[in-house]
Amino acid sequence: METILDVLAIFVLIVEVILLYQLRANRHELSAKVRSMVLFGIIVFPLLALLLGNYHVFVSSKESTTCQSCHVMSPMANDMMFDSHSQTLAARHYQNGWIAEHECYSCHADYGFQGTMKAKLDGYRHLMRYVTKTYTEPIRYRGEFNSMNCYGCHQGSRTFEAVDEHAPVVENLMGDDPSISCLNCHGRAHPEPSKRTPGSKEYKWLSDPKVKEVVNAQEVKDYINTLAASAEQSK
Amino acid sequence: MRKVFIESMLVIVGLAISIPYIIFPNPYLMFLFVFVAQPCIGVAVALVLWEVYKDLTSNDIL
Repeated sequence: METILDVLAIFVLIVEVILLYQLRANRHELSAKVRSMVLFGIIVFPLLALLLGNYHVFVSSKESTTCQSCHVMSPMANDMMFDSHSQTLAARHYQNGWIAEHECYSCHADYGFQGTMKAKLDGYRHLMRYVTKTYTEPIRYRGEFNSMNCYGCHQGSRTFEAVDEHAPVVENLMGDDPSISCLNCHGRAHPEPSKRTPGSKEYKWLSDPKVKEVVNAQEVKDYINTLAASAEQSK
Repeated sequence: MRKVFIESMLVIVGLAISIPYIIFPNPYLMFLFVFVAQPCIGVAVALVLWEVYKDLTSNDIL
Protein backbone atom coordinates (compact mmCIF):
# COMPACT_ATOMS: atom_id res chain seq x y z
CA MET A 1 0.00 0.00 0.00
CA GLU A 2 2.82 2.37 0.88
CA THR A 3 4.46 1.84 -2.52
CA ILE A 4 1.19 2.58 -4.33
CA LEU A 5 0.87 5.79 -2.31
CA ASP A 6 4.43 6.81 -3.14
CA VAL A 7 3.90 6.16 -6.85
CA LEU A 8 0.61 8.07 -6.78
CA ALA A 9 2.27 10.98 -4.97
CA ILE A 10 5.04 11.18 -7.56
CA PHE A 11 2.44 10.95 -10.33
CA VAL A 12 0.47 13.81 -8.78
CA LEU A 13 3.66 15.86 -8.47
CA ILE A 14 4.66 15.35 -12.12
CA VAL A 15 1.16 16.06 -13.47
CA GLU A 16 0.87 19.11 -11.23
CA VAL A 17 4.19 20.55 -12.40
CA ILE A 18 3.15 20.11 -16.05
CA LEU A 19 -0.33 21.56 -15.44
CA LEU A 20 0.92 24.62 -13.55
CA TYR A 21 3.61 25.26 -16.14
CA GLN A 22 1.05 25.03 -18.93
CA LEU A 23 -1.35 27.20 -16.97
CA ARG A 24 1.33 29.86 -16.59
CA ALA A 25 2.08 29.76 -20.32
CA ASN A 26 -1.63 30.07 -21.28
CA ARG A 27 -2.77 32.34 -18.48
CA HIS A 28 -3.68 35.29 -20.73
CA GLU A 29 -6.63 33.64 -22.46
CA LEU A 30 -9.55 32.01 -20.70
CA SER A 31 -10.11 29.12 -23.07
CA ALA A 32 -11.74 25.81 -22.28
CA LYS A 33 -8.27 24.29 -22.06
CA VAL A 34 -7.23 26.79 -19.39
CA ARG A 35 -10.44 26.18 -17.46
CA SER A 36 -9.84 22.45 -17.45
CA MET A 37 -6.23 23.02 -16.37
CA VAL A 38 -7.49 25.11 -13.45
CA LEU A 39 -9.98 22.38 -12.59
CA PHE A 40 -7.37 19.63 -12.53
CA GLY A 41 -4.32 21.68 -11.48
CA ILE A 42 -5.85 23.63 -8.61
CA ILE A 43 -8.79 21.51 -7.54
CA VAL A 44 -8.63 17.82 -8.49
CA PHE A 45 -4.93 16.91 -8.08
CA PRO A 46 -4.28 19.01 -4.95
CA LEU A 47 -7.35 17.42 -3.37
CA LEU A 48 -6.00 14.00 -4.37
CA ALA A 49 -2.71 14.90 -2.65
CA LEU A 50 -4.68 15.88 0.47
CA LEU A 51 -6.52 12.57 0.33
CA LEU A 52 -3.24 10.64 0.16
CA GLY A 53 -1.77 12.74 2.98
CA ASN A 54 -4.82 12.14 5.12
CA TYR A 55 -4.43 8.43 4.53
CA HIS A 56 -1.15 8.71 6.43
CA VAL A 57 -2.70 10.88 9.12
CA PHE A 58 -5.61 8.52 9.77
CA VAL A 59 -4.48 5.07 8.64
CA SER A 60 -0.68 4.83 8.75
CA SER A 61 -0.65 6.54 12.14
CA LYS A 62 -2.11 3.34 13.58
CA GLU A 63 1.28 1.66 13.04
CA SER A 64 3.43 1.32 16.17
CA THR A 65 6.45 2.55 14.21
CA THR A 66 4.61 5.84 13.65
CA CYS A 67 4.25 6.30 17.41
CA GLN A 68 7.90 5.35 17.77
CA SER A 69 8.99 8.01 15.29
CA CYS A 70 8.49 10.72 17.93
CA HIS A 71 11.52 10.92 20.25
CA VAL A 72 9.27 11.46 23.23
CA MET A 73 7.66 8.04 22.70
CA SER A 74 10.99 6.20 22.56
CA PRO A 75 10.98 5.01 26.19
CA MET A 76 7.54 3.43 25.75
CA ALA A 77 8.30 1.98 22.33
CA ASN A 78 11.74 0.62 23.21
CA ASP A 79 10.45 -0.94 26.40
CA MET A 80 7.61 -2.55 24.47
CA MET A 81 9.66 -3.72 21.51
CA PHE A 82 13.17 -4.46 22.74
CA ASP A 83 13.30 -5.04 26.50
CA SER A 84 12.92 -8.80 26.74
CA HIS A 85 12.91 -8.61 30.56
CA SER A 86 10.19 -5.98 30.76
CA GLN A 87 7.04 -6.97 32.61
CA THR A 88 4.96 -3.99 31.48
CA LEU A 89 1.63 -4.84 29.90
CA ALA A 90 2.68 -3.27 26.62
CA ALA A 91 5.88 -5.32 26.40
CA ARG A 92 4.12 -8.56 27.34
CA HIS A 93 1.42 -8.03 24.74
CA TYR A 94 3.86 -7.00 22.03
CA GLN A 95 6.62 -9.52 22.58
CA ASN A 96 4.26 -12.45 23.01
CA GLY A 97 2.46 -11.50 19.81
CA TRP A 98 -0.88 -11.20 21.61
CA ILE A 99 -1.79 -8.32 19.33
CA ALA A 100 -1.41 -9.11 15.65
CA GLU A 101 -0.98 -5.56 14.35
CA HIS A 102 -1.33 -1.89 15.33
CA GLU A 103 -0.08 -2.67 18.83
CA CYS A 104 -0.18 0.89 20.20
CA TYR A 105 -3.48 1.71 18.55
CA SER A 106 -5.17 -1.51 19.75
CA CYS A 107 -4.91 -0.34 23.36
CA HIS A 108 -5.20 3.39 22.62
CA ALA A 109 -8.05 3.02 20.16
CA ASP A 110 -9.73 6.14 21.47
CA TYR A 111 -6.65 8.35 21.07
CA GLY A 112 -5.69 10.98 18.55
CA PHE A 113 -6.89 11.31 15.01
CA GLN A 114 -8.90 8.09 15.19
CA GLY A 115 -10.95 8.90 18.26
CA THR A 116 -13.62 11.35 19.36
CA MET A 117 -13.36 15.10 18.73
CA LYS A 118 -11.68 15.59 22.11
CA ALA A 119 -9.21 12.82 21.30
CA LYS A 120 -8.51 14.40 17.91
CA LEU A 121 -7.85 17.76 19.54
CA ASP A 122 -5.54 16.00 22.01
CA GLY A 123 -3.71 14.46 19.06
CA TYR A 124 -3.27 17.88 17.44
CA ARG A 125 -2.13 19.35 20.75
CA HIS A 126 0.46 16.59 21.22
CA LEU A 127 1.72 17.05 17.66
CA MET A 128 2.02 20.80 18.22
CA ARG A 129 3.80 20.39 21.54
CA TYR A 130 6.20 17.79 20.13
CA VAL A 131 7.19 19.88 17.12
CA THR A 132 7.55 23.08 19.14
CA LYS A 133 9.37 21.13 21.88
CA THR A 134 7.11 22.54 24.57
CA TYR A 135 6.95 19.35 26.61
CA THR A 136 8.87 18.02 29.55
CA GLU A 137 9.93 14.45 30.13
CA PRO A 138 8.68 12.20 31.56
CA ILE A 139 5.42 12.75 29.75
CA ARG A 140 2.28 11.88 31.68
CA TYR A 141 -1.13 10.82 30.47
CA ARG A 142 -3.57 13.61 31.30
CA GLY A 143 -6.78 11.64 31.18
CA GLU A 144 -7.70 8.20 32.44
CA PHE A 145 -7.04 5.08 30.43
CA ASN A 146 -10.28 3.57 29.24
CA SER A 147 -10.26 -0.05 30.39
CA MET A 148 -13.02 -0.85 27.90
CA ASN A 149 -10.21 -0.84 25.32
CA CYS A 150 -8.84 -3.96 27.05
CA TYR A 151 -12.28 -5.47 27.24
CA GLY A 152 -12.75 -5.02 23.49
CA CYS A 153 -10.19 -7.78 22.87
CA HIS A 154 -10.54 -9.87 26.05
CA GLN A 155 -14.32 -10.01 26.02
CA GLY A 156 -15.50 -13.57 25.47
CA SER A 157 -12.05 -15.15 25.62
CA ARG A 158 -12.04 -18.41 27.60
CA THR A 159 -9.11 -17.44 29.84
CA PHE A 160 -10.73 -14.10 30.67
CA GLU A 161 -14.16 -15.54 31.41
CA ALA A 162 -12.62 -18.31 33.54
CA VAL A 163 -11.48 -15.79 36.16
CA ASP A 164 -14.47 -15.18 38.45
CA GLU A 165 -13.00 -11.91 39.72
CA HIS A 166 -13.45 -10.38 36.26
CA ALA A 167 -17.27 -10.44 36.46
CA PRO A 168 -17.69 -7.61 39.02
CA VAL A 169 -14.94 -5.65 37.29
CA VAL A 170 -16.75 -5.82 33.95
CA GLU A 171 -19.98 -4.81 35.69
CA ASN A 172 -18.18 -1.82 37.19
CA LEU A 173 -16.57 -0.85 33.90
CA MET A 174 -19.91 -0.93 32.14
CA GLY A 175 -21.52 1.26 34.78
CA ASP A 176 -21.97 5.01 34.51
CA ASP A 177 -19.07 5.83 36.81
CA PRO A 178 -16.40 3.12 36.58
CA SER A 179 -13.96 3.16 39.49
CA ILE A 180 -11.79 0.17 38.58
CA SER A 181 -9.02 -0.04 36.01
CA CYS A 182 -7.50 -3.20 34.59
CA LEU A 183 -4.14 -1.68 35.55
CA ASN A 184 -5.11 -1.92 39.26
CA CYS A 185 -4.47 -5.67 39.17
CA HIS A 186 -2.38 -6.23 36.06
CA GLY A 187 0.37 -3.69 36.65
CA ARG A 188 1.82 -0.87 34.67
CA ALA A 189 1.25 -0.52 30.95
CA HIS A 190 4.52 1.33 30.39
CA PRO A 191 7.72 2.02 32.38
CA GLU A 192 7.16 4.19 35.44
CA PRO A 193 7.92 7.93 35.11
CA SER A 194 11.10 7.63 37.20
CA LYS A 195 12.62 5.38 34.53
CA ARG A 196 11.55 7.78 31.79
CA THR A 197 13.13 10.79 33.46
CA PRO A 198 16.23 12.14 31.69
CA GLY A 199 19.30 11.35 33.78
CA SER A 200 17.93 8.18 35.30
CA LYS A 201 19.82 4.92 34.86
CA GLU A 202 17.22 3.33 32.61
CA TYR A 203 16.49 6.43 30.54
CA LYS A 204 19.59 6.15 28.37
CA TRP A 205 18.71 2.67 27.23
CA LEU A 206 15.01 3.36 26.92
CA SER A 207 15.53 6.43 24.76
CA ASP A 208 18.31 4.99 22.61
CA PRO A 209 17.15 1.92 20.70
CA LYS A 210 19.66 -0.83 20.04
CA VAL A 211 18.30 -1.25 16.55
CA LYS A 212 19.00 2.13 15.00
CA GLU A 213 16.43 2.04 12.27
CA VAL A 214 13.14 0.23 12.54
CA VAL A 215 11.52 -0.15 9.17
CA ASN A 216 8.33 -1.93 10.16
CA ALA A 217 6.74 -3.86 12.97
CA GLN A 218 7.48 -7.23 11.37
CA GLU A 219 11.20 -6.46 11.32
CA VAL A 220 11.05 -5.61 15.00
CA LYS A 221 9.32 -8.91 15.75
CA ASP A 222 11.92 -10.78 13.70
CA TYR A 223 14.64 -8.98 15.65
CA ILE A 224 13.07 -10.01 18.96
CA ASN A 225 12.79 -13.61 17.77
CA THR A 226 16.48 -13.51 16.85
CA LEU A 227 17.30 -12.25 20.33
CA ALA A 228 15.22 -15.00 21.93
CA ALA A 229 16.83 -17.68 19.75
CA SER A 230 20.36 -16.48 20.55
CA ALA A 231 19.50 -16.35 24.27
CA GLU A 232 18.32 -19.97 24.14
CA GLN A 233 21.44 -21.07 22.29
CA SER A 234 23.67 -19.46 24.87
CA LYS A 235 22.01 -21.44 27.71
CA MET B 1 -12.22 34.66 -14.01
CA ARG B 2 -9.12 36.50 -12.87
CA LYS B 3 -5.68 35.04 -13.12
CA VAL B 4 -5.09 32.23 -10.64
CA PHE B 5 -1.66 33.32 -9.43
CA ILE B 6 -2.42 33.27 -5.71
CA GLU B 7 -4.22 29.96 -5.98
CA SER B 8 -1.27 28.46 -7.88
CA MET B 9 1.18 29.65 -5.24
CA LEU B 10 -0.98 28.20 -2.46
CA VAL B 11 -1.19 24.89 -4.32
CA ILE B 12 2.59 24.84 -4.84
CA VAL B 13 3.18 25.42 -1.11
CA GLY B 14 0.60 22.78 -0.24
CA LEU B 15 2.04 20.19 -2.57
CA ALA B 16 5.63 20.99 -1.60
CA ILE B 17 4.67 19.78 1.88
CA SER B 18 2.12 17.07 1.03
CA ILE B 19 4.21 15.06 -1.43
CA PRO B 20 7.28 14.71 0.84
CA TYR B 21 4.93 13.85 3.73
CA ILE B 22 3.26 11.07 1.70
CA ILE B 23 6.63 9.61 0.71
CA PHE B 24 8.57 10.19 3.96
CA PRO B 25 6.00 10.55 6.77
CA ASN B 26 7.45 11.93 10.00
CA PRO B 27 6.13 14.12 12.86
CA TYR B 28 7.52 17.38 11.47
CA LEU B 29 6.08 16.90 7.99
CA MET B 30 2.84 15.71 9.58
CA PHE B 31 2.69 18.97 11.52
CA LEU B 32 3.31 21.00 8.35
CA PHE B 33 0.79 18.92 6.41
CA VAL B 34 -1.94 19.31 9.02
CA PHE B 35 -1.41 22.97 9.87
CA VAL B 36 0.01 24.47 6.64
CA ALA B 37 -0.54 22.31 3.54
CA GLN B 38 -4.19 21.47 4.15
CA PRO B 39 -5.25 25.09 4.82
CA CYS B 40 -3.23 26.29 1.77
CA ILE B 41 -4.90 23.84 -0.61
CA GLY B 42 -8.28 24.39 1.03
CA VAL B 43 -8.01 28.16 0.57
CA ALA B 44 -6.82 27.72 -3.05
CA VAL B 45 -9.80 25.48 -3.88
CA ALA B 46 -12.21 27.87 -2.13
CA LEU B 47 -10.79 30.89 -4.02
CA VAL B 48 -11.14 29.14 -7.38
CA LEU B 49 -14.70 28.06 -6.59
CA TRP B 50 -15.49 31.64 -5.52
CA GLU B 51 -14.14 32.95 -8.84
CA VAL B 52 -16.21 30.38 -10.73
CA TYR B 53 -19.31 31.41 -8.80
CA LYS B 54 -18.64 35.10 -9.49
CA ASP B 55 -18.05 34.30 -13.17
CA LEU B 56 -21.31 32.39 -13.42
CA THR B 57 -23.39 35.03 -11.63
CA SER B 58 -21.89 37.89 -13.71
CA ASN B 59 -22.92 36.04 -16.87
CA ASP B 60 -26.42 35.44 -15.48
CA ILE B 61 -25.95 31.71 -15.60
CA LEU B 62 -26.64 31.36 -11.87
